Amino acid sequence: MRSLAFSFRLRLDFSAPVQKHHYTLRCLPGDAPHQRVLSASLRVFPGEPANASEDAYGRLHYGCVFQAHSGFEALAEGTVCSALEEGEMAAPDWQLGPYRMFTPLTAPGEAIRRLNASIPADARDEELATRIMELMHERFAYLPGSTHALTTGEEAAAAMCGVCQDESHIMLSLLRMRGVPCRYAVGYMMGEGSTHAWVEMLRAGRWIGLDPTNYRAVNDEYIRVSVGRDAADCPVNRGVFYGGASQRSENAVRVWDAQVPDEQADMGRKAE
Amino acid sequence: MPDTRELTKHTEDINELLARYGVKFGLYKNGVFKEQLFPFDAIPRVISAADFAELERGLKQRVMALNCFIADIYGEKKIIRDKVVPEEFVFDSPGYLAQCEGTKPPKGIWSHISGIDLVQAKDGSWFILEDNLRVPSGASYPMIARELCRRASPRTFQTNGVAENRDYAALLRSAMDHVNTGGCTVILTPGRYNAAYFEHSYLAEKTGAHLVTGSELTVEDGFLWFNGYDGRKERVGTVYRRISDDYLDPMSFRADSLIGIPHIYEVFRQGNVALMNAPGNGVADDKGIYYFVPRMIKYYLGEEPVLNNAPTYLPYYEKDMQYVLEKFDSLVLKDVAEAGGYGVVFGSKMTKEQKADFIALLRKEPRRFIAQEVIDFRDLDIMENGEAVPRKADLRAFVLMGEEPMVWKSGLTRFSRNPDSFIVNSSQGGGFKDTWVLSH
Repeated sequence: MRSLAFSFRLRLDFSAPVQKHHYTLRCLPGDAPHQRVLSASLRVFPGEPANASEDAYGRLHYGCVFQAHSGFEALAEGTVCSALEEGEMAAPDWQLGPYRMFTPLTAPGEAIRRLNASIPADARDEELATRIMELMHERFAYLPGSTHALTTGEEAAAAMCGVCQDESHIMLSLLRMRGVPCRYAVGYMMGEGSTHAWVEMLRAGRWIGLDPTNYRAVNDEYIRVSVGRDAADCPVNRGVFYGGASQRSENAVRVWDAQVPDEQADMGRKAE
Repeated sequence: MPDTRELTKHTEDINELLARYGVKFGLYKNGVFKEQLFPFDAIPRVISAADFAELERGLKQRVMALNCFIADIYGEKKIIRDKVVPEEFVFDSPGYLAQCEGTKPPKGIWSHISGIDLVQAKDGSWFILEDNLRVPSGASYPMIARELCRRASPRTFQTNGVAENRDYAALLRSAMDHVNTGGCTVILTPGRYNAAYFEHSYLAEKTGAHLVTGSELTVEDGFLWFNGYDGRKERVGTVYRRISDDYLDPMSFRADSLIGIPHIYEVFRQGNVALMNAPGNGVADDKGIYYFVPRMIKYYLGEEPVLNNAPTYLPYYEKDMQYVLEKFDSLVLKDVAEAGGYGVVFGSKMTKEQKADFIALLRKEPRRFIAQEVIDFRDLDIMENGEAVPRKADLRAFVLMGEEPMVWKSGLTRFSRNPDSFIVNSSQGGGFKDTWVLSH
């Protein structure tokens, strides 16, 4: 167990004023068997506080800024007890169908099939995960700006460069080719300046977090915000607005060891 | 057979009035919007009281089971656990919407209005052709046609013992009220260029609901509001939406939708408004899932299906593939992703090359097709140039879900105007008839 504090700041700049700007933010972590949220808050500027909700992929906040504005900011903060257990217990196998199917972002093509061919056909579980991570580590170039939000895993595999989202999509595709249920996870990681994405793979009934971008297993330095079949299920920010403007978006994330008052830490231990 | 001679004399007058009321069908063809009339034939399809009682029993049963299936798929998925339906037919289908996972619609109802298409074989037995659980249209056509027929020849309806069909509006309203979460009732239309705009406005008038477009609805404080032209805001409790899932909410579904309402799905998921039909129903009316409906009825209700599917084969199963290849020339093949009569091919009508190409495709993508025996339809007479001629026809029956399932004692009978065609869809130029259910 480890107590982590986090802050997430999203800034949108519009080239001209926009109005009726509807947004859905997935930026606050929720309670799960492996993590316990001690505190979490979200503020948005301008506009009324967002409405809280939750769906199959995690917590979300939604709202609308009706008046004209040329900038929008969201600030999320909180503390979380991480790594309470190794991997979240998964639902029974028959409920995991959605995580076994290819999606438009994870469907394999020639490039991913070629990658798959270089992994031994009989590799299973831990060995399969290790082989995929090794392959990505050796051949995939981390190159921000070379891909965008809608780049498919196959496209990224053809170019063999991209960011954490692309590496995760390729890994999901390779796992699903072998019938292994797996999920796309979004969250915050210590030492990473913006939101991060990784993979959860089913192993012995548990979701085991694997971070192909950093070539390691997910540990107590990660805070999970949402999980889905791929990046399209759980974008950190989704919005529509009226106005002929282009949008520039940036986000900043910080995760550090929290000084947690004793009684809150006790709650965390009880959950453990 | 009831005597309809006096009524059929008025066919032309009725069609003229239908045109004047705007009973049209709009079609996009090659990027051009074209409106065409929906030709009405005055000879009704007649269903006896006993025959209809059987249909009613079967339709209620089928819709109940389909509702259980949708709730199960977006919930516990027991039917997958018990291996009644293979999971790839569900979660890989374009009708499965991952956004709907875990959603519980008001009163647990997913398909409030179901349009079930049937055909009658020469021997009188009925077969289900397909289920339409998304936004089935068509009830308004027999409603207004009956109204006009009654005006043209009141005597026909005094002497023939035809069950009333004016109650559709009341059935629809009771289904709307049953799920209402508190507030007014609206019918949401994409607007006047939609193929079924006549129906949207007619049903709004008959049920007393507001007819609205997306720009008149907004989400605020976790609720849905109707913004009247006078600036008043009224909370909405039920939305009978005539916009497809894809376009309903740019925040949950297609981001480029301009006719939807941002966050309406969120409000629905939180139980603060009823959407009828619920988004996500496409998972149950896919042509591939159709094959499994009789098994669903046994699985969820523990009953034998009252109504049969047309004999169907899934090339996905090797045994069925063998049969399809053997009997290719006598079967009709359907692409599961297509609708509106598109993607339907008859084995007997293919050239040798077409057949070879099709079989190659079938082997490559077996999950994409179903094959069915060609049913020998019972033809219905239509009047053409003063003469009665037989044509292929189907029946869309409407099942509404309130406290209990309710089957409307009428329905939309569509016929093919082309004597050689089996395809009756209005989008392919077919016409329609009134459907009489006899009260004795």
